[in-house]
Amino acid sequence: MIEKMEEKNPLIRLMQKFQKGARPVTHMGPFLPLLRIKERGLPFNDIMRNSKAMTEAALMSFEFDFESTVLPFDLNVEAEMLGARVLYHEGFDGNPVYPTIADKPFTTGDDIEIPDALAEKGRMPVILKTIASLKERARDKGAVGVYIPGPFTLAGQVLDIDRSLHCCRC
Amino acid sequence: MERAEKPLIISCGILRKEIEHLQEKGDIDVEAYFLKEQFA
Repeated sequence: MIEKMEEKNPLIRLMQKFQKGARPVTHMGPFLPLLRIKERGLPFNDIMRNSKAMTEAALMSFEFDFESTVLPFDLNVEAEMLGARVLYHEGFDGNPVYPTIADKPFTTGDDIEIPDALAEKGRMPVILKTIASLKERARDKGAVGVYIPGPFTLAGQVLDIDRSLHCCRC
Repeated sequence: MERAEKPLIISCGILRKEIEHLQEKGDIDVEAYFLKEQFA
């Protein structure tokens, strides 16, 4: 009975496909081992926007014996595709700082337009290239994933936060 | 021969209707796994 349930559950099937030990060892979100990244000389901001650096950083999950990896980009990719300007920082006190949104492109929810050719916008070409590269290089090592923020997070990134809250009617 | 695998979306269950609608329309060709909305 349990085996039949597991066969139907695609998440369990995926974890079992790459399971090496008694239990699956996986992570569902981005994982960046900062010390290892410094040792390898990978600039933090390059990992966010350069396919080669992003691939190298993502492969580190397998060095720590995880059976999955998630592309280690920040949460601003979708907002950037909709027209938000992303600001990259030099870091603070020797520690990296994730990029932030510099300008919100829309005033109201009605202003939002989804552009054509989304795969060509912002950093999406870099991300698609990284997924392809990882699927090739991690073929026998584990699952390759990406993390996508939900619609409410995205609305807060492209609209004034007060206005985006006004869009919500209980 | 290994069958071609579809991408798997793991999503909060609160987006179930929207994601299933995109699957039905043929906009996305994926398997989907939904977490419970209240993690109960």
